[in-house]
Amino acid sequence: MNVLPWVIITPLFGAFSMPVISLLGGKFRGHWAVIVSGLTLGIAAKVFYTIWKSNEILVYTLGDTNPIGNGVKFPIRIIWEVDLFGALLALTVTFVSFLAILYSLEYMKHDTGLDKYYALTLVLELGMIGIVITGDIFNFYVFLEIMSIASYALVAFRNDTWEGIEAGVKYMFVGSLASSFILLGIALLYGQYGTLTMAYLAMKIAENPTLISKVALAFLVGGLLFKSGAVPVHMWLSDAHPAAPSSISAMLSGLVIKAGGVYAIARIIFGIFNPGLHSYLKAFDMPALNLNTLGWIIIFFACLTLVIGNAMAVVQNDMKRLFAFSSVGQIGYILLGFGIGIVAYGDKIGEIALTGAVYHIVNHAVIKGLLFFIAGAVIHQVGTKNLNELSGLARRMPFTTLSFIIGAAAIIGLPPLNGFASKWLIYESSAMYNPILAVIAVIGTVFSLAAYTRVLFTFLGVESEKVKMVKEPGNAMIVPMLVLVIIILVMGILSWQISDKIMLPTAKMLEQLNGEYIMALLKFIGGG
Amino acid sequence: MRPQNSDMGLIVKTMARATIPLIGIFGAYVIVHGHITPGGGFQGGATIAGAGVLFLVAFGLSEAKEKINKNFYSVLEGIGGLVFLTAGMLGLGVVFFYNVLWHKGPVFNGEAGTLLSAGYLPIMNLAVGLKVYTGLVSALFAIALFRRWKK
Amino acid sequence: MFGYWDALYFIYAFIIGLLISYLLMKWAEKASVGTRKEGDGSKIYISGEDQDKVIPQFEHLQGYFTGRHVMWGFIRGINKMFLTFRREHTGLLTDYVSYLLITVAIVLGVMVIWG
Repeated sequence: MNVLPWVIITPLFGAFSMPVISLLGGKFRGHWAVIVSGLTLGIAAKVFYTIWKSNEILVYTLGDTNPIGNGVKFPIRIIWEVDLFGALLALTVTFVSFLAILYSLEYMKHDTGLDKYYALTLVLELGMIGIVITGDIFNFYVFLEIMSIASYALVAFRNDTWEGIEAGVKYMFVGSLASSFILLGIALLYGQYGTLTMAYLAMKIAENPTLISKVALAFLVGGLLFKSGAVPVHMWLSDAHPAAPSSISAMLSGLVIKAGGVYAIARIIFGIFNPGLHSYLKAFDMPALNLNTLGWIIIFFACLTLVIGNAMAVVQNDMKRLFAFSSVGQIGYILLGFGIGIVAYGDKIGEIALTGAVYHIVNHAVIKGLLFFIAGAVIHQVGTKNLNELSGLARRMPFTTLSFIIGAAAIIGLPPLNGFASKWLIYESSAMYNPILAVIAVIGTVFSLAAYTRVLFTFLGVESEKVKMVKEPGNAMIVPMLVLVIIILVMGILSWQISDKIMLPTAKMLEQLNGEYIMALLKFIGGG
Repeated sequence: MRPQNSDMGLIVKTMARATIPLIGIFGAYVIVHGHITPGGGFQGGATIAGAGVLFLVAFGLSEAKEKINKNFYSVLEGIGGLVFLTAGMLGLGVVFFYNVLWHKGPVFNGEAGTLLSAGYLPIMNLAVGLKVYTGLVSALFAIALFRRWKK
Repeated sequence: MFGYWDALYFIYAFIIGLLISYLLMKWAEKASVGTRKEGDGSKIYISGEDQDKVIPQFEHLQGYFTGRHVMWGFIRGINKMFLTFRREHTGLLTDYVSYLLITVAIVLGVMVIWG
């Protein structure tokens, strides 16, 4: 039996049964959420292993065995189309969510309304898994909204301070506007081509690339740039991430802007508007979209993002706000990788850039998860996140400081940690494609180094009054941090092997030089 | 200043007594006929939730607090979701959301267009209706209970 | 193969770097006659800046020991840029919405003209 539907069923069941479970007593809610997310992690790992082993795209039809309608020759049912990229993202999402839920056992112990908290966290996880496995563009929108609404609510979960409510309301208003741009793009595509299945849509667009498809693409990319937090529209992120509880910040920063942002951009560009298909059409003088333009738009926003995001991190006083701006900067690297992957499509350079971008998504999810867990530990134990009051934490919280040093070194991209490997691939490809891009990327890293050095020196400095009586947090918070530290170290030492065995096939499968994404669906039309 | 939990006047209460059952019946009709007429679980559930809100507005918060147990509603909402999920999982032997009741029976596999047809759809409509009704009433209740400011 | 790097080389380089910096520190300690190890004299070891001096426009960096000593010149040199960036982060909802509209308009315009 196919395990793929269980990756959706399990968190959905966990979220719906949370009110029933909470009747049993307060303690069970957290444990139930841990069990459910652990099971989901296992299932996602199984799905990933299956696809990695067979190196084939998995197509799963909802409601029937065949996506093609009775008596017609086109797909009418919702399909889930999982390639290695989606499966890798699903694995990352479930892994970091599992650790975040484990972490909240202690971090959220003193809060009320925890059944809602855990139900919303599972729904957030569900939305992200749905986005990465779906092959139907309206289904994608539904999961995007599930994810977005859960994250609006979770940002404002601690409603005893103005910070959470203000950030949540702002995020909700602007986020809904961005979602409606995405919906407008989907509606335009549906009106023009009459189908919602991504792979079939790709064929239809290649047959008849009209102005409408360009406009729809622009709306989709514009809305998704907001969701991924690219620079002119990153301001919701720097409000929302510091205001949310730290376990949620780790999920928002590590996962939500990846699954709902950069993953979706990559999937829509490479799945629906495949650059290879359109340059092939152009070679035969047929009407085609010029995807190079889009690549340069993405590179432009990426450069803006990685310089301004990292630079703003330098001048923050709030530790979590600094990490949030750093996330903006790292999204810039990922977008740069995808942008070069589009303009240098089919080339060795493009492949390296895509490998680096995919690798950096995973690395950043792990590292930023760790950094926000550390920020949460500091807030939980000291009660402040103002850097000016946190001086000299190293003597009182040595493990937290050590994890911070490792996390900061990894995110700056110091060898031999995992952040270096992915950044190196992006630098190399950008230097080969256009040296100016590489220079901009390095400038971003310099700012990132400056920002993290500040935090590090704060931790190592003279002891201040506030931290005199501080202890390390409990085990439920230490263990997730320890796991992430070990993962960072192992991924750092084995980074070349990981890049060769996992990330390169993933990038190839995303790039799909032979149109595998469309072929996976065409199999049904031919046979049906 | 009016007391916080005041109910509306006699006229409104009388009208509410008369109309709440009618709204409820109409909503139930929309839910049950969801698979053969326009509308469905969400629309019918929202209609019934309208009756709940009318009760809350007409009789005041204190009366509503006695009649509506919000923990119970929260559990009902979860059960609605679980029933929907279970209906989707009935055909898991084939694929997720496979309409096994419609294809194989034993119930809800009558002639298309009749009430007892369409397989899992009536069950899902009922579940969604329950979830929407309890969810909306709980949300409105939470808004009514939310008092941050000092009187 | 392209993109090759080995973690071990960097560990060796790191160890050598640590060794060199340790030797440098020892040498500097010996060479700097007259610098005390406690009190005001120790400041010279961290950087050339006075720790307690308040730098104009960088009052927010005051604290026990923030990174300002390390990154002071860097931040100071491009101070204007930071001020511009900070001014743009108003935190107003209307600004967020207008930035979103501007972004979508840029993407739309470029795609329609050159796409």
